[in-house]
Order: sequence, then C-alpha cells, then structure tokens
Amino acid sequence: MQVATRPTIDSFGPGLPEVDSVASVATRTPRQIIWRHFRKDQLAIASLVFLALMIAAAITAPLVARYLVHHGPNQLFINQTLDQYGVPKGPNHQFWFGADDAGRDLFVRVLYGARTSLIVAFFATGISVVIGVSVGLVSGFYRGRVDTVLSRFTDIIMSLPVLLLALGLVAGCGLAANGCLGGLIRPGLLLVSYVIALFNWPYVSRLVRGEVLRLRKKEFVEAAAAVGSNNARIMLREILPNVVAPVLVFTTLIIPNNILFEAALSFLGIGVPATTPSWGKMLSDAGSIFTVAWWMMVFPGLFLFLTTLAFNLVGDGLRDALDPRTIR
Amino acid sequence: MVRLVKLGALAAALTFVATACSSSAVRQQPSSQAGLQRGGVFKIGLASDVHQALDPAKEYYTIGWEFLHCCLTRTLLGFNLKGPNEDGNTLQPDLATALPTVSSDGLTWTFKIRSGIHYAPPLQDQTVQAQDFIRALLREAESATAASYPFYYSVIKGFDDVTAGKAKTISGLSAPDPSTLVVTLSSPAGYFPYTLTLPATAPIPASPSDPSAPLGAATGHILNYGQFIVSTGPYMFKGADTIDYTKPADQQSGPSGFQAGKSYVLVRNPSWDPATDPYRKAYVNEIDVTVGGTVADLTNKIQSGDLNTMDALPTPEGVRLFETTPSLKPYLHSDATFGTYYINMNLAMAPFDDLNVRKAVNWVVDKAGLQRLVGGPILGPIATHNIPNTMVPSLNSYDPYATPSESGSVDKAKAAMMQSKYDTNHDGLCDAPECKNVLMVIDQTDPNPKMAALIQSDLASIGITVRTQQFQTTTMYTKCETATEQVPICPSEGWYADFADPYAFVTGLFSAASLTPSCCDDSELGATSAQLAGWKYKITSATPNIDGDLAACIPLQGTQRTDCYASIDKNLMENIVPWVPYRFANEVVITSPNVRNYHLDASTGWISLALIALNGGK
Repeated sequence: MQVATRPTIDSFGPGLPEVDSVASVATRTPRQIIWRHFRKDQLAIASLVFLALMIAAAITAPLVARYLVHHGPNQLFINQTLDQYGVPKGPNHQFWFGADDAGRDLFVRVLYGARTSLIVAFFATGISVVIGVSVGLVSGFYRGRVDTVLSRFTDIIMSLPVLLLALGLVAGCGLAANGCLGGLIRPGLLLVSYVIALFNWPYVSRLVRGEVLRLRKKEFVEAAAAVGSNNARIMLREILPNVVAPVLVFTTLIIPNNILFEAALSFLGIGVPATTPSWGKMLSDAGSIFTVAWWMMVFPGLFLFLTTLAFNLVGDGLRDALDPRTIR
Repeated sequence: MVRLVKLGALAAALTFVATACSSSAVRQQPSSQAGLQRGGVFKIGLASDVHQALDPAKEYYTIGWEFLHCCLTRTLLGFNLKGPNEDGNTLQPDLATALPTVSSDGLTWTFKIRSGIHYAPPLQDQTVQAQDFIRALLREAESATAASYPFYYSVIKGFDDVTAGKAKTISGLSAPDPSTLVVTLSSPAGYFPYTLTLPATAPIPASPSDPSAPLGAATGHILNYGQFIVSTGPYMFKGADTIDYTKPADQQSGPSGFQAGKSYVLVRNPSWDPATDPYRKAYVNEIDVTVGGTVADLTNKIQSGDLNTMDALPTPEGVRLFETTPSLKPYLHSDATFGTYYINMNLAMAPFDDLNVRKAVNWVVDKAGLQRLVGGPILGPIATHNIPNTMVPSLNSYDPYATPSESGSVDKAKAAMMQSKYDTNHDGLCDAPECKNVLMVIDQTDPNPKMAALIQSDLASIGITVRTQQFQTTTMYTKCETATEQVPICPSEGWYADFADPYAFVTGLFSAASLTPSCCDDSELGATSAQLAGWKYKITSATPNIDGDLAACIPLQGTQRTDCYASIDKNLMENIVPWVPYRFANEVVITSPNVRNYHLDASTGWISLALIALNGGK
C-alpha cells in the first residue's frame, strides 16, 4: 500500500537528509516479508535445497536406473554381489552403496525408496490435511451440536490403537488379491497412504478448529456476514485463507512423522509390498545382518534421517517466518 | 512323512543319511567317549515351539521327534542315534530283544519284548508289556486322535477298520503273552519295520484306575497327551512323578516341566536302566528348553555359552561367522540328511497344467543362486532330482535339467516353453493371460522371501509374472497342501523322509491317497476329474497318477527296491515334472564351545540329545 502523503523533512527539524519521492520507498507484500524472513534462516534454506534435491532424485530415479546404472531396484545380481555364504558385498565401483542380502543394488533402491517416502509424505499428508481442514472448518464455524458430533468423532479416531489397526488393515487388505471393499482398497503404496492419512487428519482438524473458533469472532467475519455472505462463502473466502499459515506449518511438521510412520509399517513388514523399495523395509532387512553388512543400514538410515530432519527444519523456519512476533 | 516346518528355523524330521557325496559339507566332531563326564544342564533355545505339544501320535517335526526319541519314548525298534556315516540308519532292537522274525510270506512279524523295562514314576511299578504297544497303535488308528501319520500303519490288518469306526480293536495285532507281540499285515511291505521306530508306536502303560481301558494311561488325553507321557527313556518331564493317573484325564495336572510355548524341562528318569538301553548314554542331568527369540538372538547366546544349541538353521551370516572364525568352526556341524527343498507346481492350475511349462521352469530356475541365498553349500548340495541321493545313490549323477553352474538357462527354458499352449506365438515366452499375475505363496521366514524374489525374476524371463503372498510357515504349508486353496506354485517347501526308505519320501508326496483332506500331495498328482470339480477347479482333467508304480515298489527288497524308486524319480523328473527340486538338505547345527560328543541323530535329523555331553559335566 503506497503512502499517499508524507511528512516533509522540515517536520523533523534541520540536519536530516532529503526524503525522496513516494515511489522510492520500498513496500513489500506479506509473501515477500515472509520469504525475506525465511531466507535468513540458513538451516531452513539448506534443508529446502536438500529436499529439492531429494524430490529431483526421486523423480529421476527411473532415469538413473535406466541410463546411469542400467538396472532397476529389483534386479538381482546374486553371483556378483553375494559371497559363498550369501552375505552381500559392500560398496564398490559397480555398486556404489553395496548390495543388499537379496543381491540387489542398494544405491538404486535408496533412490526408489525416496519415491516411496515422498509419495507417502505428500499424498498421505495431503489427504489428512484436506479431511482435517474440512472437518475443523465446519466444526469450528458451526459450533453447537455439529461441533460436538465432529469433535467426539475426532476424539474416537484419535483414541484408536493406531499401530494395531494399521497392522490389521494393511495385513487384511494387503493379502487379498483384490484388496478390500470390492477393490477400492488395494494392497500397495496407496493403502499405506490411506492408513497414514486415516490416523493423521484428527490432529489437523483440531488445529483448524481452534483457529476457526478464534477467527469467527473477528470483525471481518462479522462484516462479511453483515453484507450478506452465506456461511460457505465466509468459511471459504474469509476464514480459510487465514488458517492456511498455521496449517502449512503444521503440515511441514507432520510430513516427517508420516515418513517415519510408513518406515515403521514397512519395518514391521506390513507396509508397502516387498517389490516396492522402502527405507523402512531396508532398515528392517538390515537388522539381522548389519554387523557384517553395515551399508545396508547406514545408507537408507542416513537418507531417512536427513529427509525427516530437513522437513523439520523447513517447518521450523516457516513457523518462525510466519510468526508476527518475529517480524520486524 | 515329516515335513520341514521352517526353512530358516527348524530342521526337519527324520533323516538318515549316508554319505559321502557331500563330504565337503559333512563336519562331525569325532565321536569319542574318552573324557566324557556325566552331569550338567543342556540348554536349548527354540525359535518356535514344538509342533503338536509332543503328542507322540501327532508330533511330526524334527525337534519334537528328537525329544521323544532321545529322552521320553523308546520304541520296539530304533537306531544307534548316531549319524549316517556311523551306521545311524541301520535298524536296531530297542524295546524288542532282537529284530523281528518274519514269516516266509512277509505277512506275520513277531517281536519279543525286553523284560524288566520299568516306566517312569509314578507308574514305576509297571513294566513294558506287549499289550502296551497295541494300545499305542490303537490310539494311532482312532480317528479321534487325529494322528499325523496313521497311513503308515494301514498295512496292519484291521487298522483302517478302527479308523473307519467299524471295529474297536485292530485284528492284526495280538499279544499271546506279555512279552510277545504279533503283527499281521494285509500285504508284504518292505518299509514296515521302519514304522515301528516312530514315536506313535511307543508303548502306553495300563491305566492304574482301569487296567482294561483300551488306551491305558492315555485315556481321555486326546489333545494333551504329550505332557502326560509315561516315559521309558532316560528322561522325563520335571514334575511328571506327581501326576495322578488314577484321576479322570480332565482332573489330572500336568508336570511343572511342561509349559507349552514357554519352556520344557527334562530331568533324569529314575526307572531308566542303562543296561537295557545300549544306545542312549544320557550324559547330561537335565535338558532345559526355552521357546522364543530370533535366530540371531539364539546364535549370540550360543556363542556366549548361555545356550548350548538351538533348533533353527543358522542365518547365512551366522554360518559365515562360524565358518570363518577358527575358534567357532569346530562347533558348526553339517550332515547330509534325507531331505529335499523344492518348488511345487500345481498340475491342475494354469499355466502349470502344461508339462512344457513345468519343464521350462525346471530349466530356468537359478539353483546355484538359491543355494547361495540360503547360506551356501554347507546347507546342502544342489538337488538335480527329487529323491535325495542318500536314498537312491544310483541317481547321484542324474541331472536331466543340467545348466552351466546350475544357474539356469533361459534359452533352454524358452525352447521348452515354445511347445506350450500358453506360448501363443511360440517365441519362448508364456504370453497367454494365464501366465500373468500367478499367485505364489511363500514362507515369510528369511531367507524364503529373498529366494522367492529370485524365482520371481527367473519366471519373469520366460514370461510368467507372479504375485507373492507371504505367510507364517505353518500357514504357508496349510495353504499349499490344501487343494481347495488352489495355489499354483509354492517355492518354500521342503520334505524330509520319516525314515531311511524311499517309500517314506515319495508316498506322502505323490500318491493319490495323500491328496486333500490328507497330506501332502501338493501337486495334486492322482486327482480325478470329480475331485477337481468338487474343489471348484477350472481345469478338471484328471492329473497323472503314479499309484501303480508306487505300489509295485512296496514289496521289493534291497537294490531292486532302490532301483524301483529310482525309476519313479526319473519318471517324475522327465514325464510328470511336479517339482523343481533345488537343494538336498544338510542339517546344520551350531553348538556352544562346551558341548562334547556331538552326533547327528540320523533318525530325526537333529542333534542326538541322548549322546550329547558337556565339558567337565557342567
């Protein structure tokens, strides 16, 4: 917003430099202000760069497999990679991260594992955010009986034994060739994503509900109602834009949790199918053999650690950048 | 026939083995009684529990059989409890005074029972009588028992009548006096004496409250007789002497040393007289068994001396550790057995209903890779046919699907596939819809999933794509064994013969009598059209039947007998092809450094607990 009139220099007394015209005063949009503050956080920037590289690696994994190493993540090299006892060989010029105990190239599997983790991270999180925002928005805006029912339902979901149910759902629907519900829930990455989303949306819902309860009393909401806006318009055009910031911060913080959740399910053997590389599954496979094949644990573990750390740091940076108390 | 329950965990059942052909993998401690001292507690870790709570009629699993053979249940006939290279597969009298006399027509077998063999407390006043064996066989025959291998005894006259509920007693069994047992068969059977070494035939004493009860002390113990065994061996369950057999079965309390799923404790049986038992030495005072833990955990405990041995096969890294560490190498024992690991194909499920597809699969499978994944040659040589070389030595060099380094040949596989109806354009690839998304049921226990991945890759090279389903070991076997499950291919199965005769290997696997609801003809050999239709199969053409060939071998003896079974094996490999055999099983056992006098018990395929000792008796 430009300043229409400015005090003259004389107002401040002698000795001060000349003030230029209005056009020379720089103004910034909220986004610019946020970015300006965010980029001061070097850790967050570095994490963002790292995540960008991981996303690029995940996207280009098939290209790497095809054109760089010339084999996929499930291709077996029994004779080249396993010794006479079936113990895998370590990093070398042909297999940069070494091989796993099934005779597969660990480097390619780690790259493909990034796809699994990031797909689950964004897809599962996206689903839980959509559901959580919807439920929280409605619950917080309407209050009363609607809020009571939705909140109690949310509480029930949050009270469910997550791991046991996840185990049952994934195992049950994962074993049937056509999955569950007439093929609607099929074994694979999507099923794992649905399970993760199922148990995450309540937390988003609670956050959004709290924000909506606070915002609905604001004057701009009253003003919108006064000019005849219906409830849907108020929720979507007035309230929702103002909950984006906290939801965004929360999202970046639950993404690493979801990555770890998928890794945990895979570690327990109930995550993605065996043919789909997963960092968690790789860590599980490494558990009994890492004393003689350290690379099987170190490389997927390192990537899992760095990815979740990066998301956490980006989330922290975003939170600080969006916090009005830190904006100067 | 004993079925191997776990590839990576348990060694299977009975085996004897002779042989030299895997001499590089045979590693036994020299047997010596010099310096062996009595005493100590032998500690065993089980990765998973025994199969059927040690019920002699039901237990069908190596570990359970060893506990019974070594320690609790002597039988009419037995073995010297040593390895195959130590005459461990030669029949010996145990509770019988000598090997039986057999009538000239091969139908009447007469046994003389040793006198003065007392049962363990609290029935120490009873001695083993001929009638006690009749009780055991009666219990085996009764359908209520749900015994695991009654088919072995169908050759006894009248046995099946009891099973069918048509008779109360087995007409072919008689005890003219307390020390004489006469068995009358319905037809000559060369394998018959071996069946009298199995735990189901162990004598059952009379019930103290009702001496006329047909099943004696086992009366009423349909599901839990294992803990109420009255021992005739050198050991008994701790606390077994407190059992009150005068009470009804449901009011009897089991021994404190039997905690199913948790632990078993065997202590010395005061009634056991070593003078009556030439083969069992019973050096240790007590055998403590604990259930639970991963194979890696158990291996670590053996290294540290907290355990003396475990039931499971060592992991590949465990094998490597023991093989490459000089101080541990003497405690890694490997002996050939009568077992084969194989990929089973269902002859009534597409695309494996086509002989050319089955041949193609035999050509393409990388057997050397499978051997490497399981831990290398120490776990056993590559199998080139079905029946182990140790049982039919004449087939040692028989390899109808030989490929360079036994790594498989895609070219030869494609040549076979071209002749298949499922290769519609004859390019060597299975391209019909039936070749895609074929269900493959595997054992989830390591290294089976890795092996399945290799097999999946091999099949993909000839156009067969599979989707795998993983199950716990016993569930996997149930699904593969049950015809109504309609599983096309099962690559995680193994079969160990119950005793040292090819009859014990082939009958349960390839005869029509072993189809569902019986066990274990997983290929559905011998299934009729009506059976397949009843099981809701899409393909209802009768599968090949070799029952006639099997029956022809039964009465034969000596080399005629082994040659007969060798020809059956060749027929199976070349003309029927229900399997891809890929490894003959070695039993690999690791022991702690204080273990002495290790022998493989060829009759069970595991460590001979009746001969084991501890250094210094501690």
